[in-house]
Amino acid sequence: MIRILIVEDDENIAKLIEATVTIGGYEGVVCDNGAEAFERMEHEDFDLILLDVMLPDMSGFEIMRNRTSDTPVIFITARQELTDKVRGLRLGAEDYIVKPFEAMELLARIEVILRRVSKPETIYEYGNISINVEEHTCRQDGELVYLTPKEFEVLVFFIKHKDVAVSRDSLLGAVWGFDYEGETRTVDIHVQQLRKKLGLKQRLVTIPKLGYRLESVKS
Amino acid sequence: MKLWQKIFLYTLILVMLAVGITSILLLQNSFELALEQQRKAACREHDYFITNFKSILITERLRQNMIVLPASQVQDFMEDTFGEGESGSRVAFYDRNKELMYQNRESEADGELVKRLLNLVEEGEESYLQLQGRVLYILSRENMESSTYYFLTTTDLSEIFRLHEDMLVRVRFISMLCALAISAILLVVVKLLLHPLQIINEGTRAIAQGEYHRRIQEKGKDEISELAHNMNIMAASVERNVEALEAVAENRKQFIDNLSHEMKTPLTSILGFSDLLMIKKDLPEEKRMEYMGIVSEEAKRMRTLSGKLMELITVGEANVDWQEEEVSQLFCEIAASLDVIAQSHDIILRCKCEEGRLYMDKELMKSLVYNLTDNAIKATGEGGMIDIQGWFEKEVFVFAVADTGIGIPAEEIDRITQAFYMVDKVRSRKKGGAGLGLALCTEIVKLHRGQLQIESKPGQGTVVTVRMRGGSGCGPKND
Repeated sequence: MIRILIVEDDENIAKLIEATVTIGGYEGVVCDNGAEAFERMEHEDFDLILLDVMLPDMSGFEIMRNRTSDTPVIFITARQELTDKVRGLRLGAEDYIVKPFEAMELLARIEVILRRVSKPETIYEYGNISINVEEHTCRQDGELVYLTPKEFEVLVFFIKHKDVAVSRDSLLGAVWGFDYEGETRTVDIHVQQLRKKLGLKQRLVTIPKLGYRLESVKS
Repeated sequence: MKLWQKIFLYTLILVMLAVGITSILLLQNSFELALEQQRKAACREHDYFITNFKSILITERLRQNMIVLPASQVQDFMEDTFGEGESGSRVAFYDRNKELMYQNRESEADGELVKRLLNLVEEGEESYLQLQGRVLYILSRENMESSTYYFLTTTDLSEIFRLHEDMLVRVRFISMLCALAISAILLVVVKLLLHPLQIINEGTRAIAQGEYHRRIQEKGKDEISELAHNMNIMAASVERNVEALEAVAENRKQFIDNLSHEMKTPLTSILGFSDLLMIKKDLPEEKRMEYMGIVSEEAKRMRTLSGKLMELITVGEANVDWQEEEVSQLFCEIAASLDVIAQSHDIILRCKCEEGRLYMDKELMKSLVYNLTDNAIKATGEGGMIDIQGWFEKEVFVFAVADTGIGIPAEEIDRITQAFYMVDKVRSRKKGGAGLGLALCTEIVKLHRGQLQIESKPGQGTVVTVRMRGGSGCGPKND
């Protein structure tokens, strides 16, 4: 299981981040001060670190400068000035999230980073659908179903986040990238295609005002 | 044109004018003197010649025992006496009919002039003196041997004129040399004198461009060093003001930074958890309750923060309602309302206040006592004690809030009155603190022109003492 170190001094926000990463299927480890976080970073193995910039004992930037491991880091901070952002990224952070943030945005960003740095799981099963990421194939009851690359990625994202309402924006960010400036209509078209091709009309449901949700298969 | 160029040029022109005019005047003067002398010499010569000639004639007449010498003999004597000569003055005799009788040297074209002179002398004057060109003509009417003669001497003065012209050329040349020498010296002097001005100029430019710490070198005691001194005074005051402004800006930025952090933290939790509640299907009941609890708790934190912030802003705007109030009554009211909270934390709250009147804003005073006591309650654990005491020292009203709580580390005391500063953030947040209470108290005390003093020993407790003037009806302080 993928382990994520959450460094955040505010108890409630730490709890929030932990709950959010759990939805994404990761294990969150919370740490509420800089010194301890630094120790754990140096001696334990994590796949990703979510680092608050303003910590009571030392700043996230300081931790970033002094650490020796190269685990990817996402800064989480209330400061949204560009200079802070540039400084964070220049110190080697993979991304920079400004508080307050949405749960799905955090998850999507985590996913983008993890996909970049680690080898993702290759095979997903969902009911009678099986997906092989490495081969880029999707089979339903053993029969190959042709999907465009984007449709394929959208499907993988939904399967990874079963039972979670995914907004069009966060889906757009996770699949097309956060700097993609297309319209959310694009997402609707791809979701309709998926429903048609895989017969998911009943399970890939529309949630008014929010987005879509793939419901898990009750066995 | 630059100042040094102006000074240099004007001085040079004035000096050259003075030198030129003086030398030309002097030269003119000496030339006239020389001319006058020459003229006198020529006159003397003229007289000498004619007197001599006359005495020769008389001697000869006596020797020949004649009454009158004939004109031809006179003419012979003229030739004998003056002979022919190339140098010296030219001498000429004319008879009564103005016909030339004798001349010792051929003259050039002076016939017209001589004729005019002869006419003039004939009409009245004994003798006549005329300077024509560079030649001096002297003509006189003489009676010799019962006949009238005209005697003319011409003296060439061109030597003096040549000398004068020579001098003029020489003066011009010397003036040129002088001008060169003076301009070289002037250049150095002016540059030297104005050099400090350039230093001031550079220094001022540097200061104007933002090097406020820079100072101009002050040398000597002249006007320029005075200027430098005043410039330095100006720079110092600019530097002070800029520093003060920067400090204010820095303070404000710090405040905004802290405020945005303090607001975003609860906002993040509220938005995040409500988001989770919205998107997650089939959330277990206990999780749902936990999330809802956090949302409500954080929303309350925002409420406290915004309330305190509003208070702080209104205090800053200073719309104070000054009234003379009875303090003991006010303190009893506050103590009674706070006692409920203290009891719920199992803390003993004691309040003792001398009777007396004080000029104050009642609401602000309440807020002050409330905040200080609230801080004390937050710092004190179960079984602790809080003691509020008020008394008068002449017209100064003093009150102290003492607790038996955790205390404040010595190195933190100076900073705890800053907005958003919390010694222990986690602990303060749990107790619903926003970090604005003491900042508010400081503002209120400042508005009442009082002093707020904090003494604390970690582990033993804290005493906050406030001293305010204007007690026992000695008049309003906001005069």
